[in-house]
Amino acid sequence: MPTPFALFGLPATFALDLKVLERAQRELGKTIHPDTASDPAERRALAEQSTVANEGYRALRDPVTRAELLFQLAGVATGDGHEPKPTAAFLMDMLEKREALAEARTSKDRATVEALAAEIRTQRNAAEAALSALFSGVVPSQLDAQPALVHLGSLRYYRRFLEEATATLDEWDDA
Amino acid sequence: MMLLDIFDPKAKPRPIGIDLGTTNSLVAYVRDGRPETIADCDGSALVPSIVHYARNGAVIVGDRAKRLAEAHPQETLVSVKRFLGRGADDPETRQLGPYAFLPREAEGPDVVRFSVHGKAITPVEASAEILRNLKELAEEELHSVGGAVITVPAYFDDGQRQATKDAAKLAGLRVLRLVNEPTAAALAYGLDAKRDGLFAVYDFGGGTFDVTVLVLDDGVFQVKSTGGDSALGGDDMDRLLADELATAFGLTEEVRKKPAVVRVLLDLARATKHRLTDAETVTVPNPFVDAPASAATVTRDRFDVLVKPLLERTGKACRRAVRDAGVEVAELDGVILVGGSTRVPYVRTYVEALFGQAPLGDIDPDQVVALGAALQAHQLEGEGEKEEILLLDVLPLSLGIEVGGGVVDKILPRNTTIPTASKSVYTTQEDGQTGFVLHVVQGEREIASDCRSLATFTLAGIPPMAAGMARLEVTFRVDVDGLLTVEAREQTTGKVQHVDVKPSYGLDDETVEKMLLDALDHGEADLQLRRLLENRVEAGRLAKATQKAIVVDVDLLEAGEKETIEAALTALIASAAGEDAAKIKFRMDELDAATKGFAAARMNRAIATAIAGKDVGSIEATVEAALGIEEAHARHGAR
Repeated sequence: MPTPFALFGLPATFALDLKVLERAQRELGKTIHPDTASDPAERRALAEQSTVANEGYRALRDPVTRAELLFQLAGVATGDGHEPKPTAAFLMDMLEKREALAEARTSKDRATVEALAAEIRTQRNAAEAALSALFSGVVPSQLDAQPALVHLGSLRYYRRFLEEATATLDEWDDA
Repeated sequence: MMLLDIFDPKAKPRPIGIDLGTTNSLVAYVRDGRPETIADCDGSALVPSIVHYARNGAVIVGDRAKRLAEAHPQETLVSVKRFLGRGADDPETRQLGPYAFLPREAEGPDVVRFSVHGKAITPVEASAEILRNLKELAEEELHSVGGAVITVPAYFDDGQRQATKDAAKLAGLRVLRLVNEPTAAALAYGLDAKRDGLFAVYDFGGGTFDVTVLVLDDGVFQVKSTGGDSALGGDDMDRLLADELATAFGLTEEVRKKPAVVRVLLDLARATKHRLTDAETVTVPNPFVDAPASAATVTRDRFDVLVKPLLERTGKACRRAVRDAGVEVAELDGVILVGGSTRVPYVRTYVEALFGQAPLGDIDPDQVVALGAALQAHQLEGEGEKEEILLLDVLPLSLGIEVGGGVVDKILPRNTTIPTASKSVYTTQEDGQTGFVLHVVQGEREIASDCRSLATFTLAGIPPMAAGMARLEVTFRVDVDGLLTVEAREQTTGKVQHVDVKPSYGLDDETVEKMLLDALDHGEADLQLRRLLENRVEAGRLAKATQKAIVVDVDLLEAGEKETIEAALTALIASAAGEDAAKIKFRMDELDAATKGFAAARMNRAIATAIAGKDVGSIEATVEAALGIEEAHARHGAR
């Protein structure tokens, strides 16, 4: 089975323009959407292909799953027990920021939530840039996996943090 | 050409598009490459979605049924779409009209049943009457009708879509496809003007509000997000205006609550609303004899003030949809207006301010959905020249399963392009657990009991293993028609369970909306509850691991250490029974501190034992077992 990168005709690299990915999804959709066929068996087969493509689309959109895919291609295991533990300093920093976020939530301190989110976004962008660099132009077997795995771990924390911050801001917008 | 058609006994079947609406329904087809609606003998294309059952067995649909509604309230079904896909005992349906309902049949499906002349009528049957009426209308014009594309609100779930399909089958229609209403509208606009770009569809109807953000690119309609406020429509404007009129007429509280008075007030309000589209001021004579004022005057400015809060609710849904789409308002190339309520001048003004651009309104907002449906029908089955068009639509509401502590683990988030699939792996929480109960839910809330329950099934016959050893892989699959299938597989034994999730009744608009609104209102409470439930689960794990350890390695306990640990354990268990998440966390930390020395001693023993056996694999396994307690700590600490 082709990788999601190959499926959408994109290079297997971390730096990915989401607009390009979206366009690739539309282009692929034109050829494999079940509506393009009338024969039931053919429709079923196309539905299966579309499912795989839409799963791949989702995986590529999210930087965390995109990185996981790239590690998989490089033969590097990810997930619990395979990734280096975050440093105590990193954990401490995240813990403090999460506490600050929880406090700002309770006290409805919008400026602080926005500031924290902006700070984490900067850190996330840095981690993504670092991953882009590490994965850029590298033969999978020569990937410097350890530092890349550290960034992946950080991205997981940033993602969770930003999800919470965004949910908080959404709620306030709607109140 | 038309004459030839009329006399051709072997007319070719022509595909049609149907907008099956809450208030009105329409049918359209493509003629010479352009979509057009089909009008009845009175020249009107709008067929009121009203079904009257006469005593002699005749069924009357549309305008004539509407005229019979006041005199025969229980035999005339109005807004039947709101009952589609509802459960027989759904208390909310009882408030939707003056109908007589039958209780659920012991053997039959769980659907609403109206009692009309002593006969049971289901919403599917009533909807089928409307569809049959539209089909006949189309047959008069086209002589032979082929397949049909039928539109549904973007928020309709599996059950409601299935009910719509069933109604079509009952009406003798072959369904080519169910298409979301905003997507159909976009289709009509996109193909009409050959526009490409990023669009928002603002669909404000009689009873629902939908918003969809999509990309049009060379015939592909890629939906990026959809949202709405489906308990919000033109009806709400009428209610506000009716209150205003009642006050102006000087009606007493008692009088204005009488059903007959309410009916008259709502009709007056609707007429006034329509007149305010062109007039700045409308004077309404008082039809009630014993009221102090002889007339009421409503200005457009006053009406705008009244409806502003309703529009602000649509604004919220729009902002959320734009955010969900991952775009900025400024990036939108156009805003499409759909639905009768968008005729209100202030709605247009509001939409223009909201999106920073004048909305497109050149296609009749009452007809645009049916026209889009006709285009899609033509695309799928029509003869002659066709544009290359393709709809890529999304899942409207998140799907997930209930995990430990009643928390929802979302497997497929809303706005995922369909067809799609997703896998998740779960494990056991108890030693020797031989079965999994999987509870499938739909909604945005974090707590399962607050979401809509779709199905519950059990995967049994798993050999007893230690907690956390079994690996259960759950796969959710949503096909191109939006139907969900779930498969669960226990990976160590290969035991498989496969279920088609076809809810006997789906989520109705109001429930969906209520769930979404609840998710907003209680977001913070949700998070706190989630934290509490998670802490409880962690506390349970930690307590179990500790209890096991102090029995197994009792000899490693220092004097008095057992008592300290047991005290901390008791305190933890007590706190887990309470409602304070922070307190549970605090007690877990206390237990953590109390077991520190003991845990280190266990670790040393584990390593020593393993080294004595000189088996590296077993060293790791034993160390991992000894780490049990700390791992539980690490887990709750990392959250």
